[in-house]
Amino acid sequence: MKLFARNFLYFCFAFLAICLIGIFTPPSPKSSQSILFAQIDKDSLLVNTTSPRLILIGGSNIAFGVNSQMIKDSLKINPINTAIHAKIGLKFMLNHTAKFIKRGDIIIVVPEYQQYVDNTLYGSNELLRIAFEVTKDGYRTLSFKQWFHLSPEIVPYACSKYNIKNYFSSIQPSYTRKAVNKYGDAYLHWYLKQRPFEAASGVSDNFNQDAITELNNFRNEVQKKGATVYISFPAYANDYFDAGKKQIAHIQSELIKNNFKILGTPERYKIDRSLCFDTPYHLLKPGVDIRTNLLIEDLNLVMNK
Amino acid sequence: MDFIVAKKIDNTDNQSARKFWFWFSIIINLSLLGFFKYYNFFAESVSSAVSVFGYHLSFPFLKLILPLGISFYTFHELSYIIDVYKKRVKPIENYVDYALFVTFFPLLVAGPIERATHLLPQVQNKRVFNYEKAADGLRQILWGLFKKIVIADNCAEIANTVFNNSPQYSGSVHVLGAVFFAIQIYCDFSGYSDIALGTARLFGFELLKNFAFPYFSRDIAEFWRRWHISLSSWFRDYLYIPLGGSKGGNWSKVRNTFIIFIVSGFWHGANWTFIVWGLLNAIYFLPLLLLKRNRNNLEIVAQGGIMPTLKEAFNIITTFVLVVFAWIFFRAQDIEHASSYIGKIFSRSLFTIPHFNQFSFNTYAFDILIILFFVIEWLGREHQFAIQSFLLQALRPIRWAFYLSLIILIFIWNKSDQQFIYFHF
Repeated sequence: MKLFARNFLYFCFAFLAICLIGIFTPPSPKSSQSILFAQIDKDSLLVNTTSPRLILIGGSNIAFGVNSQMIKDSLKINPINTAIHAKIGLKFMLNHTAKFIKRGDIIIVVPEYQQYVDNTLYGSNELLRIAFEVTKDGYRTLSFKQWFHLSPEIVPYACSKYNIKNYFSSIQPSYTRKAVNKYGDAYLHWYLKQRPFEAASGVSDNFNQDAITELNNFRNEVQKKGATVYISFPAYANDYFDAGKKQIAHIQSELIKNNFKILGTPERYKIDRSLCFDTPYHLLKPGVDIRTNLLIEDLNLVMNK
Repeated sequence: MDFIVAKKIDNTDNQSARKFWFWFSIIINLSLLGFFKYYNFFAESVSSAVSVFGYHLSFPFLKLILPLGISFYTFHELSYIIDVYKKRVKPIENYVDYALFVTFFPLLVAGPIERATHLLPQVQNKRVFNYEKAADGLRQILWGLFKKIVIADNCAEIANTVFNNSPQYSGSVHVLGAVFFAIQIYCDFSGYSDIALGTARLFGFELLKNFAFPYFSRDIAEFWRRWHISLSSWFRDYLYIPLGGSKGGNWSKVRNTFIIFIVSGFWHGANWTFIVWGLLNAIYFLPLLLLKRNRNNLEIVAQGGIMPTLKEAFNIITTFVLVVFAWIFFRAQDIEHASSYIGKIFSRSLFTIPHFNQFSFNTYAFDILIILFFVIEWLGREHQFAIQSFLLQALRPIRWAFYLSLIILIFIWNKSDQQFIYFHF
């Protein structure tokens, strides 16, 4: 029994060592092309863009659903689209961006509805990629709770580094770092044909109060720096919206209860499925324009008050 | 109930009382199984049968939740009662031992179907830790996980795409879909069995072998000696032989063969597709039985050698083709679906190059993985499971590197929640 336990332990150590090597192996060529690496460019925008600034924070609903040029032209403000992927998690998005906030910045946070439920706000495999590959030392900034929720993803992430597919294949252009324009918008998909995506599914019932806490903390932190935070709602395909209506209404009521400055209503941003690209949050050009116009209208309302 | 009934059977010498308790148990067990698993099927079939004659008979449709693994533990209990009745085993005195025999966790949900004569003595005797067995158990679990997660689940993705979107694809893609399903069902079910056997071995239990490389069979009779062995042998011992087996005239051989295969099909589920699948296998098997060739291939193919002879290779391929054809019925949603699927195979598009819009780097890499998998299975065909002695003589770093590669492949190729097929049964 002792011998068995000892050998088993040695084997586990060997596996652990392989995982550690995997984790700290540099990104594969495929991985380096990914849109996640646009984080570097977006960080540079946050550092170099001059005031007045409008900073957009969120997941891919913002990355793949906003035309910043329209915002710039209408509001005469410098937009920075910091969004990349919902799976990075709201907590990381907020904490990471907070460092770059300056006095006078206007910040619009648009989390996907899923960020308010279950444990999405803590991130998953995409956050590991950001933490270990893109930001190099990003893993040092993760909290215990984030690590706890990321833990099931760590071994698959480490093993994915040994996947030869990542050395011999490439990413669709619309999901690469090059798909991002000078404001941070992903735009290469704008004129593509719609791709089939899954039938509508609702939003989970497990509302996570931590999402509100994180938003509150972020608001307090950036307000101290002299910036203003607004919360808005993502453009969401109509069938998905209808399937998750009850939960979305609950999310809205929680935001109101916590006195956030809110732009628009969830219904206002409900969008026809035909305007979506490949998920209920990614929009084709006509959808992007409709959504951006709505956002501009809502911003005009609060800015002219 | 069976714990008490078994004692009642054993405590009396009165033959009628023994018979009464025996049939009491059999009827209750089968009724429970029948009610949960077959009620809706019978209700629907009777309704449609009488409607042919212009009558209207409607039964309520029950939305029942099928108890997990009911087919498996019902057969455990039946085996126990039959063996006690036949005086092959003594009834268990300790209820905990009995409960462990019926609900032993590795085999509760998908088998193998254990025999009282085999598992009970192991339950009752003291078990001692054995290094070799425990290490072997871990190896078998690892191989089972690899089969299920890497091979079966990825085959499922392709097979499901073809079976669920039949009209979109050509005949040649339909052939591929059926082949991928054949690989899926083998790796899914035998993968589960490997995990169950390996887990049990870690605890010092030896369970019945459930698969013995069935796709290397040279005829259907051999296939059925190697596929779901615990169920086939259960039916053989508790149904086929009591019915007279292959003794007697040709008529009784034909009758018994059809009975056993149809019951076997029906055991899998209340659907005509399973019955046709059973019938097809009976049709494949009968000529061998009638020509007394059903026990021609008892030894392992190319035993002690590396390559099969040309004749053996031809027979293996022929048997595989027949088996794959029967699996179409097993996988199809209903008979109509199966007919249209087969119709598509035998269309002109059978001779086109399979164009499958999911072909990508992943699919090609997966094809290579499947080939490697079958090579390892072939090399290990003389053992309990393929990697039982694979690289066992090699240096530890080499052997461990192989096991670690399997684990990495499991994480790389892991698909989200694909259930085990046999959990449905």
